[in-house]
Amino acid sequence: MIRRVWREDFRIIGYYTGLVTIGVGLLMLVPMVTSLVFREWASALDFAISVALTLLVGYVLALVSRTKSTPGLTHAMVIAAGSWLVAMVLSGVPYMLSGHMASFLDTCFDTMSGYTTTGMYLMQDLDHISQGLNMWRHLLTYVGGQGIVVLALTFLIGSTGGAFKIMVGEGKEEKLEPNVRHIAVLIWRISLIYLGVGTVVLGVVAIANGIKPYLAFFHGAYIFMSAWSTGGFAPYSQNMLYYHSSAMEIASMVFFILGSFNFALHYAVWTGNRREILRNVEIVSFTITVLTTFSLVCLALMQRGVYPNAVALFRRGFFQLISGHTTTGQSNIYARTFVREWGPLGMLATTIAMAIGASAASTGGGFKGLRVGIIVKGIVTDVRKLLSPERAVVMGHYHHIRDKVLSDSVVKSAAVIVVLYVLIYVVGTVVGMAYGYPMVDALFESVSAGSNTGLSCGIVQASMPTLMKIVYMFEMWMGRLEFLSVFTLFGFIATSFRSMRVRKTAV
Amino acid sequence: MDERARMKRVVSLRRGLLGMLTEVAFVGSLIGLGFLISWLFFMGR
Amino acid sequence: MKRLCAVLIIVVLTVLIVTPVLASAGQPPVLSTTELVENSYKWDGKTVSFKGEVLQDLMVREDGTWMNLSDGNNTAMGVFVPKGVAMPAISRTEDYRTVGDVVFITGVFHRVCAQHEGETDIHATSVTIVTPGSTKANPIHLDRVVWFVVLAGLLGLVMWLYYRKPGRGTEH
Repeated sequence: MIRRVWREDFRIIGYYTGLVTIGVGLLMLVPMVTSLVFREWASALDFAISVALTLLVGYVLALVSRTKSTPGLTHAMVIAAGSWLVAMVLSGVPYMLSGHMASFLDTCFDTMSGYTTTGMYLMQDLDHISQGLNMWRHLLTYVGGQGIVVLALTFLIGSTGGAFKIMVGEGKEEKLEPNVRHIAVLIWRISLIYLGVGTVVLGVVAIANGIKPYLAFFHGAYIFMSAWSTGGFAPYSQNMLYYHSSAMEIASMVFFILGSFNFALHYAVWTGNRREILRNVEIVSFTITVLTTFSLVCLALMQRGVYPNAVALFRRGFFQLISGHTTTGQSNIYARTFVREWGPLGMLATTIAMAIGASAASTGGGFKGLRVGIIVKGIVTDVRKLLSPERAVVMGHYHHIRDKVLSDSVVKSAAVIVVLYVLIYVVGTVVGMAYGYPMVDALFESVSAGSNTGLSCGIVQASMPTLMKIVYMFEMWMGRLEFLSVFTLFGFIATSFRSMRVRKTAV
Repeated sequence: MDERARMKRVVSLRRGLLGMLTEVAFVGSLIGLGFLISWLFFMGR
Repeated sequence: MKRLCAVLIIVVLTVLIVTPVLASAGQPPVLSTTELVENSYKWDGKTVSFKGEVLQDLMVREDGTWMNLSDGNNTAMGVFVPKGVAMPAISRTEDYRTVGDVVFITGVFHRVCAQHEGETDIHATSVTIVTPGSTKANPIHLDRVVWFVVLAGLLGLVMWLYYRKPGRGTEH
C-alpha cells in the first residue's frame, strides 16, 4: 500500500528528526564534562564545538518543520532510519576533530558501529584517545541500544510477536499507544538501575585488580555500557585482554547476557512473573543454541589442542562464543587468534552463534532467538500435520510472555526476515571473497557486521577496501533496524519523488 | 503517601529486586553449564 | 716487533668483530605484537624481547604486576612482571596529557599462558626503561575557539527563534 506523500509528512519527519538530533547534541555534553573533569582542555573544546553544531542542526530542522501532527507507523520507521543517518554524521564530529580518524568514511563507520551496537572500529591509535572521546564511544552504544528497544516497544502495539504481523503483513497505520509508553518508562528504569549496579560492580572489580579508584569507575561505566548494549567497545585496543582479569570478564559476561534478553522479558520478570524466564521461547532457544554452538567450539578447540586445560578452554572459548551469540563482540583473545589458532570449525561455530544472535526487542542483533524458535516449532508443527489424519486440526503454540498460536503468517514473517539476514550475510561474504579474503574469514566478518556483533578475525581495519567498509556499514544499519525501517525509508523517498512529479504536471 | 500506595510501592520494589536476582541467577547457571561442558570435554579426552 | 704488533691488531680486531656477533646471536629477538600473534605457535615458550609504551594502568597483583605495552597503531601486548623480577620505577604511564615511559623487556612469550588461563602474554625476566615519559602539548587552536563562538552564536539565534512563538506550528 504505497501512499501519496504530502508536505505534512515531510514536516513530521523533519520535526521529529530534529528532536532526535537535539537529543544527540545534549548527549554530547556528557563527554564534554568528562573531558573537563580530566582537564583535557583541547578535547573539551572539540566537544563544545560538536554540541553547538549538533544542536544548531537539530533546532534548525525542528524550527523549519515545526508541526503538531503526531507520527504514524510509517513516519516512525522513516524517522528511525533517517535520524540514524543524521546522528551518524553529526556524532562523528568529535571523532574527526580528535585527529584519530583517517577519513570521513571511517568516522561514519565508527559512529554507525557505535549506534548499531556492533563494535567494530576503524579509529587510529585507540590506545591514546582522551577520556572524553572514550566516554562518547561507549555512550553511543548505550544510547543506540536503548534507542532501538524504546523504538521497538513504543512504536509497536502489544508484544513483539504481534508487531511482526503488523509490520510485515498488514502495513496499517497505527498511532502511539499511551499504555505502551508506560512500559517504555519501566524499560528505561531497568536499564538505569543496571547501569548503576553495573558501574559499581565493575568499578569495584577494577579496583581489586589494580586500577586506581578514580579511573576504575570510568572503566566500570565504559565496560558496563559496552556490555549491556551488547556493543563490544572497550577503552583500549586489547579489548578485555587489557584487564587480565577473569572477574572483569565474568561480570561483563553477566551484564551482556542480560542485555541480550528481550526487554519484554525483563519487564515480566521484574513485575512478578519470574517463571517466564524458564518458559519463554527465546530463552529456551538461546540456551539450546548457546550450549550446542559452544560444544561445537569445544570440539574444534580440543581437536586442535588449542588450550591446555578446562579453565583456559572455558575462559577463552566460552567468553568468545557467548560474546558472539549475544552479539556483544567483547573479546579476550587477539583478533587474528581466531584464524591462526581456533581454525575454520571454531570460527564457523562462532559464526553460526553470531548469525542466530540475541533476543528480539533487545540490544542484540542476528536472526533473533524468537524467530529461530518460531521457525523450528513451525517445522515441527508441519511435520505433525503431515503425520496426522486429514481431518485433524493441528495447531502449534509457542510461549512468549503469553501463550501464542503458531499461525502460518507468524512463521512466514519470521522466515522472511531470516532470509533477508542471510542475504546480507552472503553479500558481505561475497564482497570479502572478491577482495581475496578466505571464505571462512569473510563469512565470519560479514556475519559479525550484519548481526551487529563486532568480533573480528582481522579483516576490519582502516586499510580495508572502501567498498567493504560501505558494505559492512550497510549490513550494520540494515541488521539493526531489521530491514523494514530501511525499506520504508527508501519507499518513502521513492514515493515522494513520484508524487512530486505528479503534482508538477498537474499544475 | 497513604498506606495502600506505600504497600504497592513495597511490593513493586520487592518484585523488581527478586526479578533482578532471578535473572542474574539464571545467567549464572548458564555460565556454570558452559564451564561444565568445557570440563566434560577435558574429562573425556 | 712489527710482527707482534700485527698479530695484536688482528687479535683485537677479531675480538671486536666477533664478540658483538656472538653476543647478538644469543640476544632474544625484538618482536612486535603483530608478529607474536600471527606466529604464536612459532614463538610459544621462546624468550623474546619487546618494546613499548606503558599504557595507563599498571596493575599490581599478588604475584606480580601487569603492564600493557603499546607498540603501534592499535597493537599492545600484556606483559606480566612476576614478583621476583626487578621492576624499575615507572615515572609516567600513558594519558591524554602524558606520553608514557617506553620500556624494553625480555621474557618468555606464551601463546596460551597456563598460569593466566589461556592468555597470550609475555612473562618478563628483565625490565628496563628506554625512554622516560614526557608531557604532551595538546594545544588549543585559536581557529577552533572561533568556530565554537560562531556556532554558539548561531545556535543562540535559532533557539531564540524556536522558543519565541510557541503556537506557530500548524499553519503552512
